[in-house]
Amino acid sequence: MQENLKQVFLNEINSINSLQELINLKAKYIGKKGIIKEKLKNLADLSLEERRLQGKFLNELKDFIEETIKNKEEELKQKEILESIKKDFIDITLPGKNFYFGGSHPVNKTLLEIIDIFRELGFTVEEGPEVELDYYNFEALNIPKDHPARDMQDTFYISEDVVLRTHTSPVQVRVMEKKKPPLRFISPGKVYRCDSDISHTPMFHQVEGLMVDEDVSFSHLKGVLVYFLKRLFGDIPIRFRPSFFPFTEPSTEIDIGCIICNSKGCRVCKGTGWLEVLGAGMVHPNVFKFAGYEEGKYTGFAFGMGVERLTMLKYRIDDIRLFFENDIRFLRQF
Amino acid sequence: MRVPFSWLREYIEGELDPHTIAEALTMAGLEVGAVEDIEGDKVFDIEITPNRADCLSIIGIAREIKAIFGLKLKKPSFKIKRELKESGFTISIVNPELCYRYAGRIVRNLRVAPSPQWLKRRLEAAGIRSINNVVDVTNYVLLEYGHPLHAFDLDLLEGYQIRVGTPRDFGKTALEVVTLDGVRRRINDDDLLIWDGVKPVAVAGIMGGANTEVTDKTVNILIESAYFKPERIRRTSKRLGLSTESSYRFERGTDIEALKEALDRAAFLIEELAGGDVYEVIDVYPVKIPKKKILFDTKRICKFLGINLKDEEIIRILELLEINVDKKEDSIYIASVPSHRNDLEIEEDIAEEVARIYGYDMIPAQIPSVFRYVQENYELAQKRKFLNLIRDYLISLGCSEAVNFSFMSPDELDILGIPENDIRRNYISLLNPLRQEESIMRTMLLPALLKNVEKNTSRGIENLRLFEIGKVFIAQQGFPLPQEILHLGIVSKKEELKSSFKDDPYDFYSLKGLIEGVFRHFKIDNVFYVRSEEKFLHPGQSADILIEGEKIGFIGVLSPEVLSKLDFKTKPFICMVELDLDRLFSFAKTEIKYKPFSTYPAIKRDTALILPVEFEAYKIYEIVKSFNNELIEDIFIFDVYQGEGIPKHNKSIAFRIVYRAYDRTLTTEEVENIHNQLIEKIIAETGATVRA
Repeated sequence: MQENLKQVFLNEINSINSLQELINLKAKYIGKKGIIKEKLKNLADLSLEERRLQGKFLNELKDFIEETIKNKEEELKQKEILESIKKDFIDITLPGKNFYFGGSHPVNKTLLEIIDIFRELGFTVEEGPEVELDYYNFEALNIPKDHPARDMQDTFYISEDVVLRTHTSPVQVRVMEKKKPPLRFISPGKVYRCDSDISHTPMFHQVEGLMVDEDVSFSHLKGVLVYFLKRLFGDIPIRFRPSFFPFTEPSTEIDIGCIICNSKGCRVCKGTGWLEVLGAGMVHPNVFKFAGYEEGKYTGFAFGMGVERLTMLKYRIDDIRLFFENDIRFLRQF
Repeated sequence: MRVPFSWLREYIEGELDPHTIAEALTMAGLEVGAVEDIEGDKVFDIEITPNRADCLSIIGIAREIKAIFGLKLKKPSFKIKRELKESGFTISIVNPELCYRYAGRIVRNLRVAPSPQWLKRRLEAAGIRSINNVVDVTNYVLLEYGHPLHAFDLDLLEGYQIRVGTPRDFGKTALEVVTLDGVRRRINDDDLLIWDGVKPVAVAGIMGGANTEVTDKTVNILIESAYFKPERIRRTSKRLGLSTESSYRFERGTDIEALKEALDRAAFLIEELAGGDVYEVIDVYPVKIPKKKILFDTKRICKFLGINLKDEEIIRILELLEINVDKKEDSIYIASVPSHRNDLEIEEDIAEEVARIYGYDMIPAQIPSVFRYVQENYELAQKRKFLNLIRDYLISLGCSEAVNFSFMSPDELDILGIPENDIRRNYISLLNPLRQEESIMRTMLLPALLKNVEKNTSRGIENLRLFEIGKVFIAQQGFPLPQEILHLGIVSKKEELKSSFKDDPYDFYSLKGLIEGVFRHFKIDNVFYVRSEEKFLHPGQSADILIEGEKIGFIGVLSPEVLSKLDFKTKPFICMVELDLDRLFSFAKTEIKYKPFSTYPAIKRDTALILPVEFEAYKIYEIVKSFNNELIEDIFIFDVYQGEGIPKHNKSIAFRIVYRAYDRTLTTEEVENIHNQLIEKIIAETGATVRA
């Protein structure tokens, strides 16, 4: 009869498919009011020998049932997980949701790179207005009215005394009016020239820089600008040519070996093997005079560069107008 | 300036290779842009900087080559065969402030004819059209010496005299002169003119008058060689919009000492080519320009350049440039500047001359060894970080960065329906715009961004997001300069959105979430959204953005009306934002200060309320805020539902409140109690019912 109970239990447990059924089954056999408990209670009526035998058997059966239920429970849990996993299968070959970086504007990208390089050299950043007084844009930079140097830049006028700045150089005057040397800063920003054709846009970006202290020399100007160009373009040939800017003396223009043709001569460098990338020079004493600095005490150098031009060279962009169309297929490349 | 090499080499002794010369000129500051081959000759195109008027001539460039290579200059040698005396012609300078010197020669009985081939070819190679032998000679000498000359038909000059002065000098007001090019020019009363006994016959230094032009019929001429004040020539030339080979040189400053030699040279060549009787020079020279002396210190120059040169070397270089040097004491010298170098004035100019001839490339490149501390502009540095962070954030979230010109057209303000009294109408205009569409400085970023969207759309781009960070310009009453305000504009556009997922990254709430992310990061609270009255926005899907009661921008969907005025073939959904970043920055908390946070568990309570459809969700936030319980850590709305199970004209708003104490674990009872009070308050203030 007892053998029969075990068989009945095994038959029942084998037909079970859910955890709930298993809990019920557990209660039925080994719960507080379960079959085993009942039978153990009934043992009191039996002889000592019989009680010992039956008791041993029932306790063994109870252990067996517990063990079997525990195994079954484990089996059912496993099964449940497997089923839920199977249900949650997705097509992992479908593309992901549409996340992407937007494009950064290449001119700003270069601008930030330039700022980073000069920060390495201990330069800070200064800014100034884009609509500027003629005084700061020209007069205080040693470019009087009726001076031919004004022809070097086609100017947008707001009134007789107000212009769209043609370079970011007025910032150097504004800063010098407020601060005494040592000065070491760059001023990046938008500038405007009344000029529009295949290679000119009426607005573009410039970075201008200034270093003023006692005993700053032309040799330092070269050192700083060579460092800058090598950091931006790698180890390229660099040459300094004499030039003219009314606010520097001596003045220089700086060429790098053409990176398009490796200085062999091409359309971009007009066959010369060189590309002009920077203008610079030692600050003209008249500019210090306008700033109100003590005469002869300080020397310094200033430099300026067109960011569009550097960007075009860096990324081999052949049309400046692309910068201001803002075609997403252009911007996304940067 | 175009310089035929065959012509240039005539003035220098020694063998010269054109490419070596071109390279050396470039490296000495006369940039040879291109070398052209013309009929077996090399023609240099040299860019002469505005300070080097002396190099606007073949002889001037030859002089540079001489200095660079230490060679000898061969100036033209010539002698006028026969000079007649006493022409009886008079020259009077009425205004010596504007005309320092005026010299002339009369040539009679010459024969005007075409120029010989060699002369024509030289002029043409240099870019000047041949006219006749007399005019060509004046141009030839202009190129050779850099000094402009002019020839008058003597028989058309009335009163047998020349007078130099402004209309005002002759008691006249503004008048008109017909110049050689046949154009009637308006002359101001202070422009310098050349007059005969009766009338103006030339605009001084710029162009001769048609009334005294040398023609085929001319037999007697007056050749003029003068010095005019550069600034005045430039001003008149600018105003007339008339720049000539002559005015270009006068305004940069000609060599007052060389003008007689140029005149003689022209007279000689005319005698050679057109025959005639040359009369002696009439030379009126009332104003002498004093010879310039510059004191310089060789030690200072070496330190300034960062080189070590012996005094003898410096002096040798200066003497090659025809600058005479006298020793004063020790390392101090005096340079006497030749009359053709009117650009040299100060010690730094001398330093440049030394560096130029010594070679810029010979100067070592040195990183300054001592960097003294420089104070950073703190406010600006903070702001740059703020802007860079916003830029990186937007790029990381898929917006592309646009850069547009700072110009716009007033028409665009009309299209957007910007009211007459709106601040964005306080624009500043360019006096000389390139195009009507770019005639004012922009007062908003959106018009250009919308154009970018149009352009992209016309090129088949369906969905995109662009942003721009840039300045707008608002005129300020009583100030010469406008206010420059940094703005952020974002625009997103979608056509039909096709995706295997349900999200829409282009709707109003996506854009709103984008800018809220910025506000949150910089801990800007007190942001309010009120329905916007901007005419160009959809009235039902737009808001003005207010911080502490101040409008700092707007967000919204482009109104269907404006959309219909733009150039779209389809009906895209365009959503946009424009924000004042300067003001946003002023509200931003960019200083970071660590705040400790609770490590105790939070208790969350979700509630759904039934409210009228018009109910605006922000009121729930307001009430929770005014409830002001320090245990409330967060509130957010997670579901808004309308439809089955909800009464008509109502909606259900479900929100979660998170409670947490800083110093202990909250009990369920405690939270239950607070939450019930809060919900009762909301119900009392809104008339909501709890959704079962």
